[in-house]
Amino acid sequence: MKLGEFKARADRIQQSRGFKLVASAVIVLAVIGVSISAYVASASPVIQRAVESAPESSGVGATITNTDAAQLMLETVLKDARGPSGTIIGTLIVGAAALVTVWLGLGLTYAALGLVLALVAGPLWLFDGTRGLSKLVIGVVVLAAAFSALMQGARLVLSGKGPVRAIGRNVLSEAVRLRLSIVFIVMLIFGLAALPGLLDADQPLRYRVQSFMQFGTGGSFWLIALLTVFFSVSTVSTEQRDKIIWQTMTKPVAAWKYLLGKWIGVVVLAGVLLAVSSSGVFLFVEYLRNQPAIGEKEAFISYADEGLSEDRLVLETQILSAQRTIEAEEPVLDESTIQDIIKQRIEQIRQADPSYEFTSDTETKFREDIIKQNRLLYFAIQPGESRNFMFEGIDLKETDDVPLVLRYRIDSSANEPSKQYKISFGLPGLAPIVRNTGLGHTHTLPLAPLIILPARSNEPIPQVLLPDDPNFSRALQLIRAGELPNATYIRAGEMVDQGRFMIQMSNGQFAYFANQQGQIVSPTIVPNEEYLQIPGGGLTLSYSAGSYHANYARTMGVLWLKLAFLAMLGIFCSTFLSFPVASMVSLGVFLMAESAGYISLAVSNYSTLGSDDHVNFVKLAISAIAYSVSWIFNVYADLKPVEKLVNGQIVGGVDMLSAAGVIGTWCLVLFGAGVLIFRRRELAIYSGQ
Amino acid sequence: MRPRVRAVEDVSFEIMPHEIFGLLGPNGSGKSTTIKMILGLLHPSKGRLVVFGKSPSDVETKKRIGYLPEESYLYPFLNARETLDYYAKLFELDPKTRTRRIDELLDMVGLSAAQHRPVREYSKGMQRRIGLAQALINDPDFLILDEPTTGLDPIGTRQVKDLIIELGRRGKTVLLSSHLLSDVEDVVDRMVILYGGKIRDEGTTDSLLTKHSKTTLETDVLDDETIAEIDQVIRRRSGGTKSLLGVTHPRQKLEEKFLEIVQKAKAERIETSGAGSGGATASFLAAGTAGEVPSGEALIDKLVSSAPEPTHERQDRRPAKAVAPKEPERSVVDDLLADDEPKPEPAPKPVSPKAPAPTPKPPARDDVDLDVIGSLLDESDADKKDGKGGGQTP
Repeated sequence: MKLGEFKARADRIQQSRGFKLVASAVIVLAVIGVSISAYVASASPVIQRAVESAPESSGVGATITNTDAAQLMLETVLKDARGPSGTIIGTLIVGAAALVTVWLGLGLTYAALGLVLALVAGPLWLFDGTRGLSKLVIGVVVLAAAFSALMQGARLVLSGKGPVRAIGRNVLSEAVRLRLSIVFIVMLIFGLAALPGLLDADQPLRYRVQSFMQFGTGGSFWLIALLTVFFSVSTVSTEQRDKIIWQTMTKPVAAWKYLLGKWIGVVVLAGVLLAVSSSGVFLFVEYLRNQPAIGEKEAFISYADEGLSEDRLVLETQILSAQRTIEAEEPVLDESTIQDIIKQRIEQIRQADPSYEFTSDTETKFREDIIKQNRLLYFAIQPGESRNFMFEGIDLKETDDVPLVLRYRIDSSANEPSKQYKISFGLPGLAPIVRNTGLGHTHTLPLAPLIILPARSNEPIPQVLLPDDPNFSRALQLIRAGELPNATYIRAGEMVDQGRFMIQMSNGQFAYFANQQGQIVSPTIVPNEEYLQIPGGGLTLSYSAGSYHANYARTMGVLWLKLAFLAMLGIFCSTFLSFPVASMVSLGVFLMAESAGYISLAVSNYSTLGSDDHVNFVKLAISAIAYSVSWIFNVYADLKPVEKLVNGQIVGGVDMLSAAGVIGTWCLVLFGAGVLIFRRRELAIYSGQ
Repeated sequence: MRPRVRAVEDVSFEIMPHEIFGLLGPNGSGKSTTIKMILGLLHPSKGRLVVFGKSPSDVETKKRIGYLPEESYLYPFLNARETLDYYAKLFELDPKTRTRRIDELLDMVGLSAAQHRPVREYSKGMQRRIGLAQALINDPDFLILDEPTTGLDPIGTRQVKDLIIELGRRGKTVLLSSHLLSDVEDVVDRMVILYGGKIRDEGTTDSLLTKHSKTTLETDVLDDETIAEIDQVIRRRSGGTKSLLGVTHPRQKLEEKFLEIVQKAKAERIETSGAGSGGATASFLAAGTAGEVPSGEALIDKLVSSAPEPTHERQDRRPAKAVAPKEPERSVVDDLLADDEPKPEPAPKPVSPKAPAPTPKPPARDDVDLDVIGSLLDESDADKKDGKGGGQTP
C-alpha cells in the first residue's frame, strides 16, 4: 500500500464515528484510572516521604540557557505536581484535550505525531550533541499538531451547504494539498521551531526577547503575507487557466459568492497560520520571560535581593509592555517670521545676482528649509546650555501609577563610540539627574514612579530616587514602613499637569559649588566638549497604557487585517490577470504599502527643483507618484504593528478600529470591482497560460 | 489586435422539454461554443439566447442544469467523494441528501471502489465518469453533455448512451454534443448538424437517416436458388425496372462483440483495476420533477412496469421550429454520414415503404439496451446495499 493510500485510510478511520466513540471510551477510562492511581499513591506513606525529601529546583543560581529550557520546564511541572490534586487536574486537562482531538478527527494524526516524538525526538534528547536537533523536532511536531487542529477547526466552521462555505472549505483543502502552499507552511513551521535555537544565551534577556519577537512575529508575518499573495492569486487564476472554474460557475454560484468564498478560505488559512505562529512566539516569550535576567539569581529575583535588575526592569517596563509614546513638542514659527526670513534671503541672493527670479516653488523650498532649520536649532543644545522640552496630550490620571520613561538620543560631531557626554535632566524643584550618555544610541531614563528625598545641608535641593536606582526598592520599603517620614513617593499621574509634562535637558553636568565659607552657591553646568543634536524622533516620553498580553492580541489582529487586505488584493488581481502578472502586481502593491512610511519620509525631503532652482518635471512626476502612494497607504503604513510590539509600544484599540475601517473599505472596493469584472468575464476565453 | 474568430453564425434552434437533442458536427464546427453560450461561459455577440425563459447567466436557472464539459476539469487534489460533495454543496443540498446521492452516483459510474483516490490519479475514462456524476448531482432537468463518451471504453460508452436514453425516459431534457456519429444516432430524438459554425441540417433521426429509395429484407440464411427466385419476383413485379441489388450476411457490431467478451470474462471472475463497470441509474434522478422520489428502486420498478406509458409522453414533443429554415447542404451531410451508412442493424423491423413520415416517438423499451448495465453488474448486484442501487431492468 502506498503512503498516500495508507494516510487516506487512516484519515477515514479517525473520522469515523465508531473510532471516535471507542477512542473516547479509552480516554475516559484512562483518565479515571490515572486519577484513582494518583489518589491512592499520594496516600502511600512511602511516596509521602519521597515527596518531602525531593530536592528544590536545580536551576537556582545558575545561568539558564535556552538549551536547558524544556528540562527546567519539566522540573517545574514535576515540582508543581506533588499533590494528588495536581495530578488529577493535569490528567483531566490532558484527557479533555485528547477528547477534543479525537472528535476533531485527529486521533490517529496525533498518535502518529506522538510516535515521531517518542521514536525520533526521544533518542536525540539523550545525547548532548543532538539535543538541539531533538528540540527542533519537538518544536516542529508541536507546531504541526497545532496547525492540524486549527485547520480541522476551520474546516468544521466552513462545513455545511452553500457555495460560499463550500468554496472556502475547498480553498483550505487546496492549501494543504498543493505544493505552492505546502512549501510556505513547512518553511514557517521549521523556521519557528528553529528560531529559539539561534538565540544567544549570553545576551541580556531583554535582547533575547526582543530578537525573538522581531524575527518570530515579523518573519512569520512576511512568510504568511507572501503565501497569502501567491495563494490567493493562484486559487482563482489557476482555476481559470485549467478550466476547473467552468464546472463551478455553471452551478448556481453567483460571482460575488465565488469570490467571497475564495477570500474567506484564504483569510481563514492566513488566520490559522498566524494563530499557530503567534501562539508559538507568545508561549516561547512567556517562557523566556520566566528565565533569569542578567543580574538575577532566579527569575524576578536579583542577586542582591534588592528590587529588579536593570535587564528585568527594561524588559518588563519597555518591551513586554504597551506604552503610549509622545514626541517632544516642536517649535512653531509664525507666518510673519517666516516671511521676514524669506525676504532677507531673497535680498541676499539679489545682492549677488540682481537678475534672480523669485518663484512660488522657490518660496516653498525656502519655507521648508526654514522650518527644518528652526527645528534643528531647537533640538541642538550648545555646551553648558539648557533647554526645556514639553510633552503634551498625556492621558494619565493623577492616581495612575505606571512607569513613565524618557527615551533620548544625542548626536555630536562624528558620534565617536569612545565618547560619553554627561547630560543633566531637570524636573521642577528637584535636583538634576545626571547621566553618562553614549553618542548615537537611544537611551532610557525611567522618570516615574520616583521618590523625593528631603533636602540636606550639602544638597539644598531635594534629591530624587529613580526606579532604576539600586536604593529605590529599599527606600520604598522604608516609606511604606513609615521609617522615612519626609520622603515622598510620586506616581506618574502626579507628575503630569493637565496632560503636559516638562523636562529640562542640559548639555553638561549640573554641579553645586561652595564658596570659601562653605556655603552652596548657585548651581553651575560643567559643559561637554561640543554641542549636541537630538535627531528627529530622538526625544520621546512613554507611559504604560495597557497590558502586554492585550497588546499582543491586538497586534495579531492588525496583522490579520493586513493579510485579509492582501488576500482581497490577490483575488481582485486574478479576476482579470494571469497568475504571474497578478502575483507581481499584488506583490508590488504590498511592498509599496509596507514601505509607504519610508516613501512618505523620502517625499518630505525630496526637492522637485533642479540645479537651476527651477522645477524639474521628472522629479515632479516622481514626487507626485511617491506622494500618492504614501497618501493612499498612509494608514496602513502607520500601523507598524510588529515594530510597536517589539518596542513595547501600544497598538491602540482606536488605531485597530480605524485600520479595520480603512482596510475594510479597501477590501469592499476591491471586492466590488472584482465582482463587476468577474461577471463580465467570458470564462471560456482565457489566455493566461 | 488579434482577429476575433466567428465560431458560430446564424444558429437558431429550440430544444423542447423532455427531449434528447443532438448537436452533431466535426471538430471546430461550433458545438462547444454553442454549449458554452447556453451556460453563460461565453456571451453571444448578437442574437437572443434563453434557457428556461431566462438569461444563461441567471443563477437560479443553473439550479436546473447539469453540465459535463468536453474534458473533465476537476480539482486534482480532491478524491471522487470530496469532488461530488463539493459540487453538491454548491446546490445547497442537505448532508443526508448529499450522502445518498453521492453513494448512488459513485455506484452508478462504477467508482465506489476508487472513491478515496485523488482525482489526479484517475485515468481519463475514470475522470469522465466522475465528471458525469457531478453533472447529475443536482438531479438536473436539463443535462448538457459535451462529448460525453470521449475517453471511455466501449462498456462506459454503452453505459453512457443507455444512461442518456434512461434519463430521457425519465423526462429529462438532454443536449448531447458529439462528433461521434454513432453516439448521436443511437440516442437522440432530434438533432442539428453543424459545420463551419452554421446549421447545415436538422430534424429527427429517422427523417434524416432513412433512405426511402431502398428496401432491406432480413431473413434466415437463404440458398442461391431462393435468392434468384426473389430477384425474379422483384423484376417481374416492377416490370424489369427494379432488381435485387446485393445480398450480404449481416455482421455483428464490434461494440456488441466487445461487450460479449467482457461479459464472459466477468462470468469467469477475471478482475480488473480502476473503474468498475458501473451500476444502475441513480434512483434520485427523478422524472423531471423538482421533488425527491421517495424510493429510487420503486421509481425504476414503476418506470419499467409502465414502459408503454413513460412518465412523459414523448409523442407530444413538437419538433423545434426552425427560425430560419435552410436548404440542407447534402454534400456535407453525406460526408458526415458516409462512415456510418453501411451499418447493419442486428434486428431491424421491416420498414414499410408506405410508412408515414417519421415523427418523434418514445423509444420502445426494446430499443434501450438496459440489459447491458444489468448483465455487466451481475456480480455486484449481490453485494449492493439495500436502497442504494436502482432496480435492474429485465
